[in-house]
Amino acid sequence: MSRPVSHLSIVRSILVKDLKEYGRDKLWAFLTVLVLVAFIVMYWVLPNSVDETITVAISPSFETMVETAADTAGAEVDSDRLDELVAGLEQEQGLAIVSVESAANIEALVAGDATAYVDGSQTIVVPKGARPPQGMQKADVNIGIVFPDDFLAATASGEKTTVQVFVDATVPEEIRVAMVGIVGEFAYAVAGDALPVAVPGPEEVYVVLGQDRLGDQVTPRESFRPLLAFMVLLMEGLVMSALIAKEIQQRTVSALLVTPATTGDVLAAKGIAGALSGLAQAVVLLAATGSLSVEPALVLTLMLLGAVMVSGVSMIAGSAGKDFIGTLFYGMLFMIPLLIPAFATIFPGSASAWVRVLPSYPMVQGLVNVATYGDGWSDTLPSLGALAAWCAGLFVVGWFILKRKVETL
Amino acid sequence: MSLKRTLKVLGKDFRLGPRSPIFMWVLFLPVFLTLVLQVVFGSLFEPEPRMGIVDFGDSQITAAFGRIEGIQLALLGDVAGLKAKVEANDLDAGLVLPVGFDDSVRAGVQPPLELYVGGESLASNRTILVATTLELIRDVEGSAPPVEVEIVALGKEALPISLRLVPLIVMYALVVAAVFLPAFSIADEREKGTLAALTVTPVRLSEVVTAKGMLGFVLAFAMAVFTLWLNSALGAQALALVVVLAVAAALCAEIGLIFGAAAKDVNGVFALIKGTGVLLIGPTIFYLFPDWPQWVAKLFPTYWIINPLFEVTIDNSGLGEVWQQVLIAVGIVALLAAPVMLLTRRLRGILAMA
Repeated sequence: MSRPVSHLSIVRSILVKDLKEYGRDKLWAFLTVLVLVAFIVMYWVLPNSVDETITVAISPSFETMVETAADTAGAEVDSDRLDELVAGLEQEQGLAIVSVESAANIEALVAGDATAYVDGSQTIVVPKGARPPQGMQKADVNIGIVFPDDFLAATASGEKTTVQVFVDATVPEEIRVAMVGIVGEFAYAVAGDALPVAVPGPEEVYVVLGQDRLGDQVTPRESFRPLLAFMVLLMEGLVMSALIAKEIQQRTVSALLVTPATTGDVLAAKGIAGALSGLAQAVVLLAATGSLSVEPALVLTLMLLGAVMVSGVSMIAGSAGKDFIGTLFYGMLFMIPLLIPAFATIFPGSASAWVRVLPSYPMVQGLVNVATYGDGWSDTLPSLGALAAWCAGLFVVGWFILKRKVETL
Repeated sequence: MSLKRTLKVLGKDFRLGPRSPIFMWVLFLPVFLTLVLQVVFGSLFEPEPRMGIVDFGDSQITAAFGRIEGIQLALLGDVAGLKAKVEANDLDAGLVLPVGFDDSVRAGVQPPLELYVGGESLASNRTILVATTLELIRDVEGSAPPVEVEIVALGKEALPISLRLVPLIVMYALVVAAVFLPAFSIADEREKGTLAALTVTPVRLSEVVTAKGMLGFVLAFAMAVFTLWLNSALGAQALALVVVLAVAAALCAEIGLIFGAAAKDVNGVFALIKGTGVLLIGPTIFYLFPDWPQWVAKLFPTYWIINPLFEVTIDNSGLGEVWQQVLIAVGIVALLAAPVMLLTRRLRGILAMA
């Protein structure tokens, strides 16, 4: 005779057994840690800034050109206006202008035979293989513009000159076209030709729509964070489905049912084990990547719901496969579509309509909005609601399919 | 070891193999990866400025934008839609060209420029699109430019991303066919007991293992050729391609046999693949990022199969140019033969005791 055992303690016992079995495989446990570490390292290796500028070397310097123009006998030059135009070009967003001494330097820089190092307005060109100067920043130059010495004076007085734009062969066509446009527009301005169109303001050619993130762009590191976190969940989902398939194949799940454990207890334990193992790793990843500093409770809620959703999918895949390889195959078939929204976050712009209806989209988008754009609970409620609905739906379907499978063994 | 018995086992694997989902992986993955990597992710590595135009008057600016390589052009029907797309960062910039815009520019009326830029667009993309727009408007204006701009290109042109992705896709085809297939096949047969059952027949374990290796080799070779063809990268050096692919398939098949013989079950194989996948695929990432220190790639054993393959297919190098790399790969194949034999012997002992 024995006293009745509560469902809670049965679920706990099965859960402990599952987690022990999971940890017993030393190789598996080691490799799980290894992959987690690799993901964390990958995150920190990714660039934490976005290079928004095109670095252009010019020769001679604008200063020299203005001085030459002022010294040119007979040239009708308004030095103040030239200074203004040059300052305008130097402050052009997206362009970083580096002045070097000679046209030969420009050719060497663009051909990769020399490197430019910059400190404020000072630039040093160092031949390939030579020691770089201390305390100066390297400038990646693959475009160089060689102006004639009398460019400003000649252009201002209506004389046509030739400007050479040296480009590395890897510079794409659109940048070459833009360079022609920039030099041309500068020359028009020097010659005193107004734009053939009316622009919104004296310094504004365009109108910015949305929050201007110039200098504060989403970095590759931030873009990859949801992908890495979701991949950890999916990997564990695959493992979970393999464990379920193994229990079905070896009929250990049937053996459990002759004990006081019900099918519901077994399924609950499986679901919790799957969600817990994935969630634990995802939390480690997020903590190690400093992603829990903003709204930690909200991030953890999103990850928990994501883990439960993946657990539901694991039950479906685990029931479908006849063996490990089959389970892996079905698991991949289910998991790859779930991965698409996470990949979509790497690309600029909003996801397509069909991506937005995928179950993992609300989780990934919620994570992006919280971790990258600083959204709070109220902003994330729609994502949380949609995710909770998907989560419940997939978990119920997974539960139902696995229950049928177990009961028909 | 009997070649006849080995071929018999190989024939059985070819006959019964397609029932396994792993065969589906072998056939499906190269097509899937080609589609995903080339179509979807090609744009990730070389993002192009994206311009949207609403043209109410058949402007020559629209046609000119369409001719510029490297700018993605989207033609839209309404201004609200254009502004929404620019604001959502689906476009970097949006230009509205009203009826008679070109005529107004030519007449010197200075029509208003309606140009929108997205807040999340990069500064460099803004510069490119604005400069190009003004350049094209100047073309419409028809005035003689006050300067002659001469473009001088220096150095060697970089390979397009579609070609730099080829090593990654081919390596996956090789790994799935030559590593996954033999490894899972051995572990699966061991788990199901069919491997132990074979030991009471005249077939020797070494013959079974060799047959699994040959299966991986043949399929890897075929799938690599198929993948290269799919990516239009077969090259013109047929003999060099055959030699390099044969060595590559052999090296990968040996890794598959090592995994299969070392793991106690299919879970173990999965764990080994999960843990060592980065080492197998690692060198292919360096083709995507030419600025990375390329010598690091040489530390990976698979570099010595993937780099000659890259040179033969993409650079059209012949055997005379890649023979040293192929020789190193052959050396690795010879070295790996030892663990394959040792692990097979160990597996025989385990099966005998079971």
